[in-house]
This record gives sequence, C-alpha cells and structure tokens, in this order.
Amino acid sequence: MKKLNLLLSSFLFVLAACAPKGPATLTVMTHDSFAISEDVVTAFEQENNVDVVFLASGDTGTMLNKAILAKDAPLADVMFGVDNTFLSRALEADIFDAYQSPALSDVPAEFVLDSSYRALPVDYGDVCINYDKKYFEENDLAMPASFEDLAKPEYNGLLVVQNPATSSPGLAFMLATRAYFGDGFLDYWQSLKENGVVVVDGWETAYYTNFSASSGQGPQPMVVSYASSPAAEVFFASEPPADAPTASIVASGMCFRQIEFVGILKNGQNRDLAEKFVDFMLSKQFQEDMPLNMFVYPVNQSAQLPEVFTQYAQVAEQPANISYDDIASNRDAWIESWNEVMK
Amino acid sequence: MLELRNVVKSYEGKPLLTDISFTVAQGETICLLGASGSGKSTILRMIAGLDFPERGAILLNSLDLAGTPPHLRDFGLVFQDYGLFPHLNVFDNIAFGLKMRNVPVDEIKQRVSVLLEQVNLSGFDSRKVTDLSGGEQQRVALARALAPSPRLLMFDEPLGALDRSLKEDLLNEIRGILHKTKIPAIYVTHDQEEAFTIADRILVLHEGTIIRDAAPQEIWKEPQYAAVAKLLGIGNIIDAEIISDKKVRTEFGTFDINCANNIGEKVQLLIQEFPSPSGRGVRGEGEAQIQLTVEDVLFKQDQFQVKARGGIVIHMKEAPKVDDVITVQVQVKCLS
Amino acid sequence: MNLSPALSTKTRSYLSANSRILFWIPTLLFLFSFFFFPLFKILALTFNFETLADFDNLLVARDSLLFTFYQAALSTLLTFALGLPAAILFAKFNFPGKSLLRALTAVPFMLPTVVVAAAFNSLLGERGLFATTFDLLLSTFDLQPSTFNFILILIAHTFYNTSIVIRIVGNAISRLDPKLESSARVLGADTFHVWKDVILPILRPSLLAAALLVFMFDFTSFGVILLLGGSQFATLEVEIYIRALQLPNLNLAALLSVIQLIFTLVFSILYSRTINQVSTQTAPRFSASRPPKTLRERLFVFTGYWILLTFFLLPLLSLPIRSFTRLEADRGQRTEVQYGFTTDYYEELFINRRGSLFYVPPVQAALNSLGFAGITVILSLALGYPAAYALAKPTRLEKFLDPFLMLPLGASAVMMGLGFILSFGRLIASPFFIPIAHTLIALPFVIRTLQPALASIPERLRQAASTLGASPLRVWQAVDFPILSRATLSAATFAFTVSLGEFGATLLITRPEYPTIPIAISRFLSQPGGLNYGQAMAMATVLMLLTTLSILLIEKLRFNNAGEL
Repeated sequence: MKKLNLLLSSFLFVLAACAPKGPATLTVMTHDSFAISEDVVTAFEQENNVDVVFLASGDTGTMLNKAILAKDAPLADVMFGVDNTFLSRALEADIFDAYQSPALSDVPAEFVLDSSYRALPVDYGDVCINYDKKYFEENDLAMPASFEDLAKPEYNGLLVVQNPATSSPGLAFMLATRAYFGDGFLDYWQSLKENGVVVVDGWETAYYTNFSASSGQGPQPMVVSYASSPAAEVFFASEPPADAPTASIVASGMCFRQIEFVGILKNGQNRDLAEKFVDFMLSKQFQEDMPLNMFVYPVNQSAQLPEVFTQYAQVAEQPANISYDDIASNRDAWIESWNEVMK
Repeated sequence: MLELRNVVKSYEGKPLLTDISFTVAQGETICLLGASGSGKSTILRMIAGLDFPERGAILLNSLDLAGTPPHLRDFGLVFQDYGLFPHLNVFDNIAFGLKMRNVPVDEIKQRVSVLLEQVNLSGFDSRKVTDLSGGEQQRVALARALAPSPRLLMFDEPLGALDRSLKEDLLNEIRGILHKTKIPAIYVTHDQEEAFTIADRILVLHEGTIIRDAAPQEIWKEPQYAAVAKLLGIGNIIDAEIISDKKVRTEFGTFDINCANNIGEKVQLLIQEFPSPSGRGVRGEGEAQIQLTVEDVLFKQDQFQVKARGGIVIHMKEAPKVDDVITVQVQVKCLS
Repeated sequence: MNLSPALSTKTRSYLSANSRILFWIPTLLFLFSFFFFPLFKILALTFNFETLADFDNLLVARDSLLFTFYQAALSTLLTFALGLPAAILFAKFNFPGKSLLRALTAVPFMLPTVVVAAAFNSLLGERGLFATTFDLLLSTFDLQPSTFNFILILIAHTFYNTSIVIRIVGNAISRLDPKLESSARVLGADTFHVWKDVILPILRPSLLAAALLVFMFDFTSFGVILLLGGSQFATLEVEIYIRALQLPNLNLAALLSVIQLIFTLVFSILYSRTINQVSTQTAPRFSASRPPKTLRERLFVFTGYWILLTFFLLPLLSLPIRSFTRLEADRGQRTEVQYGFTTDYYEELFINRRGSLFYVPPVQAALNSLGFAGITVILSLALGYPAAYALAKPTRLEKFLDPFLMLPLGASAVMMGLGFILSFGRLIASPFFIPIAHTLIALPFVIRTLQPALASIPERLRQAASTLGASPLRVWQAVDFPILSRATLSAATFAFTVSLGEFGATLLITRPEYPTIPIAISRFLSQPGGLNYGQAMAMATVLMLLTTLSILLIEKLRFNNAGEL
C-alpha cells in the first residue's frame, strides 16, 4: 500500500510541479464564501515575496472535517473560517498551533474565545431574522418583537429557517433559541412548527427561493439571514435604492453572533509566512477590505466601516448568550433532537 | 379476390408507381417481376397495409382495404432476409400469428407441428432462430406466414439470399404448398427462372406501370416489350431502323417485317432462335436467315452456347469454330 | 455472428489471453489510483463493525435505504413514461426542429443542480408561472406541502435523466430491423402486441441499461433532493453527507456508503449479466426515420413534440428570461417592485466591482469549463477504448471486471472527496484533479457507449481487411473507426456533458483561480442581492447556451458522418 501511495504521489507531484519555480507558496484553506480584493493580497504577496494560494474547501463544516482528516499532512498552512459553533471541534481535534499575534491588541477581548491563541478572531456577523419591509407595510403587520411573537397566528407560515444540520445560519439561529429558552427550546420549535415555519436546507434556498424580498420573490417575508444582508441588498442592486428593501430584527437575544477564526495548521510548512498572514488578516488593510467582500464586520476596532454598512447594516443589540463550550458539548445532541421535533 | 385499382405512389418526391392495376384470383399465384428499385416491394407493403397508396384503391373481395390496419388484413408476408424474431425460438416464431389470434394453446401446438413437418423442420421447435442456416430460417419464415392460414401470401424475393440448389428445392416446396392450400399468392422476384417455375401469371413492372400481364408461356412467346424480353432473358435484342412499310434494316441485314412505325424511326427487334427446323422453305411472318460470325463458344451441358459478333447469343448442338461464319434460321419480332 | 459463441470466445481468449490484460492496464490503473485506493483509505479509517451493533444506526440505514429505493423507483418510472415515447419519437420520425429539440432534452443533464432548482422554482414555485395549477392540484388531492416537494424532486429527476433514455433506447430503436415490426403486423399483431411481444423484448438490454443508469442516478441523487426537498428526504447519499460533514459520525457515514456501494455493485452485476445473455439482432444502420404519415403518427409526433418542448423548454427558458428581467425590490422609493428588461446582469459580469481576487471574467470561466471538459473527453476516451475493446468479446476476465467499472457512479461523492484528501494530501489542490474526477464519472458512460458498437463490428470485416494487407492500425482505421465514429461522438458528448455540468465542489478542494461555470454560479448565489442573483442567472444562461451549442455541433457532425457511411 505504501509503495502504491508513494508511486502515485510522485506521479502526481510531477504533474503538479509543471509550474515554474518562483517565490515561496503559502496555502490558505478557506470556506467557499471567502473573498478578498486582489490588490490587498498582491500587496501582501509583494511585501513578503510569497505566492498565496487559496483553497476553497466547501462550507465551514466540510472544510473543518477535511482539515481534521488531513491533520497529519495538512492541505494548507493556514485555515480561515472556523466559527464559534465549530470552534470547539477544531480545538478538540488539535489542528491548530498557538500564535499570539501582536495585532490582537486592536481586537476586543470578547472576541478572543480561545485563551491559548490557537484560533484568532477575524470577523463577526450577527445571524438575525431579516424581513420584507414592503410586506409588513402593506399588510399593516407589526414586527415580531420576540421569539414568542413568532409563534402567534398572525405570523403563521411567514418564516423560513435553515436546517441546523446542513446550514450554519440555521445552526446559529437554533442556538439563539436555545440560549433564550434553555431546555425548553424544543417546545418552542414545536410551536413554531405548528405555526407553519418553513425549513429548508441551505441559506441559498431560503433566501433566493423562499424569501419574498429577494430576487426569488418567494412566499415568506421573514428569513434567517445576516444583519448585514440589508446592506448587501443595497450594494448589489443594479440601481442602488434610497433605502434597503429588507431589515433585520435585532431585538435583544434574537440574534446569534458568529465569530470567524483563523489558525495556523499544525505540521504546516511555512510557520513564518503563516504568522505574517495571520497578522495581515488582523491588519487594518485586510479588515477594511473584508466587509464588502464577505459582508461581515471587522474585529479590529480601528478599521473603518464602509458607508453602506453604517447606513443599512444593523448590529444586534444584545446577541444571544451561549458559551462555545456549551455549544461544543451539546451541539450534535441539540441538532438531532431538533430534527426529531421538526420531522 | 384481390384487386389493385390505379394505385399511385411516389418515393421521396419522385413518382415511383404511376398507375398500377391488377387482380389476383382465388388459388392463383402471380409473379411480380421488375428491376430492383422498380417498386415491387412497395406494392407488397401497400397490400399488406404497411404503406399507403397516394391515389387509387386496394380491394379485397370488392371491399376497400384502406381502413383496415395490417394486423386485421389476414395476409402473410415472407421477406428475403426472413425477418424472424431473434428473441423467440422456432416454435414461438411460427406460433406468433396464432397467438395474436388467441388460438388455444393445444391447437397452436398441433398446428405448429404440422407446419414444421410441412417445411421439413420437424424437431426444430426449441432451436434458436439465430442458430439456423439461411435455408432453415427461410423455411421457418414460410411456416410462420402460413400458420394463421392467411387469405393471401406475399413473397418478397424470398430466395434471393440462398444458393442455387437450395433455391430450387425450396421453390418447389413453396409451389407444392401453394397448390395444396389454394392460398392466392403474390411472388416478387427479379429472377426469371423462379418466375417461370412458380407463376400462374407474370406481371412485369416497368417505369411505374405493369407493362405486361399474361401467362408465362404467352410472355415467352410474345414479350412485346424490350424491357420484358430483357428482364426475362428471352432471345436477343437488336437495334433497327424502319426503311419502308414492311422493311427494317439492321446490322444483320434487312428483314421483311411490319412494325407499324413511321419510316426512319429507330426500333428494337427480338431475334429468337427458330423453334424447330421444320417447314423449310415455307417462311412465315418474321422468319429469316442470318449470318453470324462466331466470337466465343461455351459448353453448356447438352448443347453449345455460341456468342456471335453484335452480341447475339444462340444455342447449337454442335460446336462451331471461333471466326466461323454460320447461317441460322431465326424468328424476328417487333418490340415496343 | 452465427458462430457458436462458446467456441469463438474460447479460441479468442486462448489466443490473446496475455494481450487482453494489456487492454485493461490503463483503465484499471486509473480506477485503482483514483477510485479504489481513496475509497479504501477512507473506509479503512472510518468503517468498523461496531457501528453495526448500534440499533439506532441500523434504523437510520434501513429508513434511508427504503426511502432511496422508493424515490428512485418512482423517478425511474416517471422518466421512462416520458423518455420511452420520446425515444420512439426521435428514432422513428423526422419533423421540423428535431435536432434542436433533441439537443434541448440533453441540456438539463449538464446543468448544475442549483440552476435547475432555481429554474423549477421560478416555474412551479409558489409564485411561479404554474403556481395556480399546482395549488389546484394540491388542494384537489389534499396534498401536504412535503408531498409537493416530493413531486418536485421526481419531476426534476425526470428532467435530468430523460435524455439517458432517449439516447440509449432511441439508439437501439433506430437500429432495430424494421422488417420485424412489419412481420409482426402482418401476422396479426396490433400496435400494442408489436411492442409487447416483439419490440420491447428485443430492446430489453437497452431498456435495462437505460433503467439501470437512471435508477443509479436517482439512487445516488444528492443536490436535487437537498435543494428541492430538504434533508427530510433522507436518501442514503443525503444521510451520508449529513453524517460525514455536518453531524460528525464518520462511522455511520462509512456504513451507509458501504451499503450504497454494495447495492451499486449488485445493480452492476445484474446489468452486466443481462446484457451478456441477450443477443440482439440489431443491424448497425437501419436508422430509417421518416416523416409521420398516418393521422395517428402525426398526432403522436405533434403531442410528443409539444409535451417535450414544454417540459424542457419552459424551465430552461425561465433562466434566460430571469437573466434579462429586473425583478428587484425597490421599496425605499416606491411601493412597487422594479420590473423590466435589463442587460445590467450581463454587463456586471464583466466588471470586477470590488476588485475581488476571485473575480473571474465569464469568458475565462467558460474557457476553464471547456478546457476541463476537453481533457475529460480525451482522458475518458483514451481509457475507455481499450476497456471497451476487451469488453466487446467478453471472457471470464471481462465478466468479472465489468461490474466494477460502474462502481464510481454509485460511490458517495462526499466519501470519495474525503478519501482523496487522505490519499493525495496537498496534491489535491492541483487543477489536474478536476478532469480526473470528471473522468471517473464519465468513464462508465464512455465504455457503455463504445462497447456495443465495438461488438457489432463483424470480425469478418477485420479479417478481410488484414488479408488485403492492412496492418492492425490500418484495419482499425479502415474498419473499426468508420463504424465507431458515431459511437465515439456519442461517448465524447457524454464525457463532455458530464464534465461541463459537474459541480464537484463537495468532492474536491477547488482553487478559486480556476472556477468553472457551475462554481461561478454557486459563488454568485451565496451572497444576497438582486445583482448577484441576476448574474447567477446570466451565467447559467451562458452555460446553457454553451452546452446547447456543443450538443448541436456534435449532432450535426454525427449526421454528416452517418451520411457518409
């Protein structure tokens, strides 16, 4: 088996090595939603004489599982995109090396969840219910002010959520309800189910197919999405409207704050460059480029937000309070029992 | 019983059959003769209901068949390449038509075994048809067509793919079966030997119409048309020119014959060997003597085939030498 | 052909036992390296028999297996209900717009699931064109919304797979000796009996082949089910995905994928047995399609034409329509939605608004897609030809190996992706892996398309050519190639189409610098905003045009080629 492995590897290596040798290469594993401006990366590459190669590795869960499987011979040097719902699994699997970046000085301590600095916060975003302004105006309907309101008959069939087993905003939203209701969250979901909540598997389907304010013109005026989505709706309109067509419900406890982390993968090849890249991700330059590329908020407090964010994006007043340790130990059981209830 | 009335059909926009009319009587076997591509098979397909005339009618016992689909016509059709069902064995192939008519199983078994005997294939019941020889396959096809006792049998060059001796055997078998069963039949071929052997009546298809419709011996005597003579291999055809009322000129001399054409016109003549040397000196209409230069002599069993200059072929009891000039008594007829 | 098969194979295998192995080497090497090896790696790590001892695990396995069978069987039935008449239509009749319609039916096969789901939702969804019709149906039969989703899944499977039936069965129908039908009719069989007793039995191998492929695709369907139904419709593949990547229980995922593999193997074995048993008397060139003549034929062609056109064109048309229609909420200024014609989305495709590193011009994405598809075609033909040659005259070796060729179709893409990571590590980021992965899926099609054509070449022709002094290469050029060129084109189309539409993001790690069109589409769809949605539709339209054009081109080549023969 070993021999075959070796043979294959060398064969493929020859294939892969066709490109001419240049500067050193730094490989960064990311989830599929990662995006960055070209000039920002180029600046980093020139400064450090390095080629940065990004590997899009699926959604967050998929990426993490791939990284864990390849722990002994990591696919990349740096991994970005693990969030606080997956953080504990990453830490348990011990895939990161610790690195206390000096750039953390500009980052508030509330974001630094791992005190041993294996995973460093890069950005955050609030998962909240987004609603279709026009629908509520036209139907003279008041906004739900709490989770309990959503189970009321006037909101029957108006909300679409994602399955927490297959979607990270879906998981985030479920965790918010768990934080709010405690163990009674399953009863709450039972009442939501009776009130016609629609469950789909992914954010794409929920937003583009079911949500009424998106281009999909779907049937539900409320969708679980991000607090920054209204800003994206303005930014990605072919003729920017004066006001966003959607808004988020940011009432206390109704949003879940996702924080995304970067870490240096164990057994990687370029420790120095990897550290530099982590510093770079926390730098003002990268942090200011991030919002419009990924529609998330910078953790670096010195970073300026783009205008579309300050104008249209909302920040949760009081995000749900739930520790990542709690998430870590119960995550799978919660998802299983949620699925039992919603079946 | 079967009648085609002014049937017209074109193929890919070109006229194929311009005006076809003929009848087939009960118990009669007719032979449809024509060059390949002349539309013989199309006529069969139309009679079978697999194709449709553009104009004209096909009638069975004076009833128009136009509205009757092929499976209700009760006709049998035998193809040159058999068209046996590859997924069925010999028995099931023959039984097919009976099953379609919901004949009881016992009766089917009985009928099939009778038929197998009739076509000399007893014991072949469970053989795969793909494992049979060409002749055997054609016997199965024949038995299959006979099984439901059709009102009419049609053969589309059924022996074309077989070798000579097999052909003769099978031809005689078919003949015997047709006579015994009295099923009227239409037999399509381009082989004159088959036609003469099997037909009660021969129909010659040429350029979209039936130009000749008569008993074999009559056609042999009076082919009337160059096309018929050529197709049936009757005598020699030579070019001629009318030079007066009763005289035509050819490269073999001038003959006294009235072709009812205008002077100066080109015609074709049929030169047949004189049937018998009797009545020497007494010349009937069209009898003449011509001189031929021998080009080649072939031995043909009991006689010699002599090829002469000008493309004439005659038969003689004794072999002449090449380049000899011989004198032969012939019968000359006008063709149109 | 008339030689006793036992005798001919015996002598053949005796004569060329050694050289036969040579035929298999490239294909087997490829399959071992890129299929069995990664599969073994991941299963060795994750599969253990203790998983079997857990009753809950067995329950999950049983439920997902039953549901998988249920939906695959229904989908296959529905696909045949549409595909069989369509195959007859294309094989037997000529009518205006035939090649366009034919190409149209093949387009869905190549579209990524995100696009098809979007198309179906814009048509049948609650605000779609036919929403009222479906509402009526639902209320008349008192159906649950989940039943509606289930129906959508079945329809989408039909939409995807009908072209398989058209291709495989249609091919066989057009090669059927028309005299068989004539004989049966004259012998008293009506249309029903002609089909029941003659045509269908003769078509059995091709029907089985088509049914097997369709069933296998439905059996392992993944994207369609997740997007149109959701994970409540837990097929094996969906369950594997959830257990492997979302709820980390790799052991259960391994168990499920072993079950899936076993069933695929069973289907493959059944399939190869059947196809080797049934000898078909189909001639190579009977493709006598003609204009419809009788009233019934005209009616059949007319209704068939319109049903197919509606079924395939409407969902496909909804994409270009959406790509040119502004449907953006604009409620800040007015209370109306902005409707109207726009080319903004296309123009936007060429603008890198955010200066993003991962922005790729649409032309580049198209070129990437075409490039990968081209390599896939070459690779799968190069590997498929020798195997198909060996399979054309099967010996015991081939009978044993045959079913394994189909296995990649039934292996879980998720587990394969993980296996690749374990086996190849960093090398997986090489762009070469994309066509390799596509070839894995295309290869079974290619072999299955080439094999019958190769088997149909009479050995006598080859012998005649070689006695006339032709070298083996010249024999191949003069005899095999002309007969094979049609099959080769079909096989190439298959490989090409599989590659163009293959999303493969779950299977592999991708380099964002080399996105294919499907990947570009999914990137657009992953962010909110009307412009993103519009660009996704525009990109999908580009993919659709590209695929339709390639198919038309191939159909044309095929036609010209058939004319030469």
